[in-house]
Amino acid sequence: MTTHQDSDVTALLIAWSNGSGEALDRLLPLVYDECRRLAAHQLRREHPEHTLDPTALVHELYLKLVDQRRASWENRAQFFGVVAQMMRRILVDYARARRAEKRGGGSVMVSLDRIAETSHDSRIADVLAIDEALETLAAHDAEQVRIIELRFFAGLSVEETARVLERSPRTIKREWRLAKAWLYRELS
Amino acid sequence: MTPMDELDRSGGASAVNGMSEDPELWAHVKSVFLDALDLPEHERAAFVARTCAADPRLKQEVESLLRSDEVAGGFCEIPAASLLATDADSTDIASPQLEPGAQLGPYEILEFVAAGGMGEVYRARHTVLSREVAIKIVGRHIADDPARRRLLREARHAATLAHPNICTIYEVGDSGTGPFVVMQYIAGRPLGALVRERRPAVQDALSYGVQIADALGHAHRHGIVHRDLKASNVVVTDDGRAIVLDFGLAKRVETDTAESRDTTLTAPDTLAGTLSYMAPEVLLGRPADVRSDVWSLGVVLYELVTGALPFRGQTQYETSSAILGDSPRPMSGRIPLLLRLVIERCLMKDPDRRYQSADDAKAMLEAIRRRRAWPLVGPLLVSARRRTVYVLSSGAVGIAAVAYAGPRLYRRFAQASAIHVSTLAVLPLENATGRSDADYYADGMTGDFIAQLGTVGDVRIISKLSAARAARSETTIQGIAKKLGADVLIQGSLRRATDRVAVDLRLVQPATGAVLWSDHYERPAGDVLALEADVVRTLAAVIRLNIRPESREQLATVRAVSPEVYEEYLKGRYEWNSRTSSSLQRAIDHFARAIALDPSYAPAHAALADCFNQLGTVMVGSGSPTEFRPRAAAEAIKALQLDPRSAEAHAALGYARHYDWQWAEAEKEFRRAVELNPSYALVRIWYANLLMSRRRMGEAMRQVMIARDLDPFSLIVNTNVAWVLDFAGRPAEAVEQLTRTLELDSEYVQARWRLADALLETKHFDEAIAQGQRALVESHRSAPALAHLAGLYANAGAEGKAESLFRELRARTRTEYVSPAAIGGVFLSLGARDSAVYWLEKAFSERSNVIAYLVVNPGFAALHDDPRYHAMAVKAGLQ
Repeated sequence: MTTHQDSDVTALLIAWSNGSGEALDRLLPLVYDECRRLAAHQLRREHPEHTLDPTALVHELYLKLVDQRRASWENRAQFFGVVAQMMRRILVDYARARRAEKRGGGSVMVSLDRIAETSHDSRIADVLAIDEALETLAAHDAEQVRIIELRFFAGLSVEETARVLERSPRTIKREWRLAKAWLYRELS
Repeated sequence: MTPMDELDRSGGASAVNGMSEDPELWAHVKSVFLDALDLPEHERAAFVARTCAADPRLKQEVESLLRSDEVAGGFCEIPAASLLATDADSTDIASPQLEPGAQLGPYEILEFVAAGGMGEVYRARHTVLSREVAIKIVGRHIADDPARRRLLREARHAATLAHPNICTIYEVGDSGTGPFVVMQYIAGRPLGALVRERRPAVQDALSYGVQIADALGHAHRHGIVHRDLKASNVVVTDDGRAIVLDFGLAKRVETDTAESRDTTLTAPDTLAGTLSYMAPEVLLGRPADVRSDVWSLGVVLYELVTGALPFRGQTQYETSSAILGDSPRPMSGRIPLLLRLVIERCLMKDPDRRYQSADDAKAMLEAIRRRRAWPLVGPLLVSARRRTVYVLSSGAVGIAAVAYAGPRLYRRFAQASAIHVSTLAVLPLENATGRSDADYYADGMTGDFIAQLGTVGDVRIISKLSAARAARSETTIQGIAKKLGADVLIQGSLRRATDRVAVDLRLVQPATGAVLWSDHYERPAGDVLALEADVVRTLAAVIRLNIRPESREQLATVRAVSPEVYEEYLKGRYEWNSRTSSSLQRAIDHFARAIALDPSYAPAHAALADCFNQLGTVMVGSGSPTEFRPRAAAEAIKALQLDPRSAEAHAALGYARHYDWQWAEAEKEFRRAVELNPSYALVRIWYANLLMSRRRMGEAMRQVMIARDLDPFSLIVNTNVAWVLDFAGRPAEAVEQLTRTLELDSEYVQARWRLADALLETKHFDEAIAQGQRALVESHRSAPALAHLAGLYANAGAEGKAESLFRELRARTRTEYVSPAAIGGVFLSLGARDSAVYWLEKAFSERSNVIAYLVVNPGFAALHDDPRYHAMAVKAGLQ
């Protein structure tokens, strides 16, 4: 395969699809930077009128970085797979940083309103705990980890997840239930 | 539901470790778990036990995961970014801005209480008045001045509300930290927390419901819509007062913050808590009005009585589509039917079909609370059936998808509401033959349609008499439908030649007058039943009834019946409806002729059983029950041999068994009849009678209420509602109910008799006697009427008049059958206890209907210390 001199994400993506490991190495930082920028932007909610739907973030990223006239749907699926892992890293980093900022944390709020029933600290703890549990899960079922990354961290739907993993939506739906059941038990 | 909610409540699940060291075990666990998921829930346990029989570790793992799966539904469904972003948005809220001791105008902050989507809440004290208050700092995110002013104006408007169930707003101000609202400090617990902890008793739920509805009604009259009523917005004090918070605040704040409704829909934090309470029209982006609050009230009520939300999904998307498209999850049968009906009415998708004001809902709740809701049952005919289920293409996550899918969803919703049928009325078929002697034929066929539709599906069919009455008294179809609470009417006409029958039918939607469907059927007269089956099948398809499988079979195998037989049958039923002893005799003649022509025609046997049952009663009867009841039972059994699925035959047999004191058997028959045709009002009435005999007054009341739902203008049904009331020790209410019944038909003697009795119970002697006198005239001085009035005189102390009537009655015994129970009743009223017992024992030996009510009839109270009375009660299996 040809080695790509440029930083064209599309070309790198296609090259990687065709088996070029070097293309992936070059692709990752390009995508990562953009991914983090977008994520941070949205996490700060500088534009509250924008939807917070994380699926949109992934799509937006794809639209921005990849020339769709050249890329195939397999390229797209692979791209999403990569982005899902990145999102996990970015979000977990973010959560850790937030936790570090907090002084005491851990206080449980009296609630007058259901929204407030989930304290923000525990949401952070939640995300971090899921991330840790995934380390355990990775040891015996990498596929499950990927599903959780795509669904929970990248916010993809069951159908999109199925497309990325090249499985049927029905399979993904069942596997997702197993993944949730396992995680839920692990975190309880 | 957020993941943390799930987590917080998940203490029970156990984590089994060590799987990671054993990939083989995991593969095995995974495969069994996934296979189990494919099975219906109730089969999973057995499957796992079977599959893992040899491996306890595997079994334990799979079971623990399945348990976890049951509760993990909404877990992880909110993507990580949304969780964290919500955090980013509200971190400032979480850390309180004001420290204890801080001053806010004249208020001193005492402590931070809570943070919600709208802002922080503090407990504070007015330093001068030393009054304790709650202060809410709201809308801090609102940057622009007009929005801020609007918020303040709204809040000030809400501050004009003064009501015991509304949290009083004392003051609205604007400080450097944002607009703040000073309000009543309420020591109590949020209703949401209360419900999650322990479901309140029905009486408490009703009490809270009435108070909340009252608060809403008050606010609505002042032009204030709450817009965000939910369980956590209601605080219950220690003394049981329910107080609604945040009037005129919540949604206004959110809309202004987000600047447009669309963004309100897409921001997860604004919806997370309130989506479950949101009315469909609000979800679709239309403005909230009074009726949207009525919806939310329905959700809160549902939550109060069931402990759960009526519309639930694993994701917000699913919840939204449930709200837009599904019926509320069915409520337990333990919740009073009327209360369920009220809740279902609040939760109608179409705002026009809900209560149009909170006051209406309150009136109903109040009536149920005071247990006197029957006059209002009629207009309440609504039901929630899972008939229209929307399958949405999934593929998008979160509420944004709903906002996007809005118009499409709405169209479906609108279309569906056009043909959603919960209550159907068949108006009397018009006799287009031009000869009045075919009236009975039209009438009978109408009855047959009703009976058949009642057995095939899950829809409420208004009874023939009620439909006919409404059709007579109302001139427009809208009027008729309104009176009957029907959402669809069937109209039609019938022509009959010697050997052919033709029927034209149309299905009309009263609200618009639109004809939803129409068709013409013509068949040889001998195939009239097949014609009926055709019609029922088509109608079922048109109104989307789910035909029960066994009914489908029955409809497909309808047998031919000769026109003569069918004609005799219809004539007989026509006579039976009047239910006097002479009309019953004529009915018997018709049925007997039908049977002579076709001995295997089951409906005629069942109808004959009904006649014999009525002829054995005290008030209508013309002979001893020993003469008629065995024949009733025999005919019913014959009918069942011919057609084991005849609801009429089961009901008739139940009736005969009831008065033969075969309690369990009677109940079994009634229940089977109800199962076969849930819309058959008469069986409910008869079943209620049995329940009364057994002193199961609550259940009896429930059955007559259902009968009344089905047949709101039926004289016998309305009279029996009163009967149950009277025997339940509520004669004053019985008087009210009977007065109303007689307004339907002033010549219905049964109602007048019972009215006289109820008046006597309430010590209105003169009025009781006046009614008794009128009943005597209207019944053409029948023996039972003589006995009845004599008893009234005796009870009122007019013994001379009583005895004179009594002599007339005794003289009758020489020429006609007089029920010994009637004679015993007069003796009892006259205080002649031994003679009374003598005649009652005679009534006992002929198994008079009266004996079945020995222990519940207040008329027998004078005998309660008599051992002979007790002996009878014991022998009849009543004690």
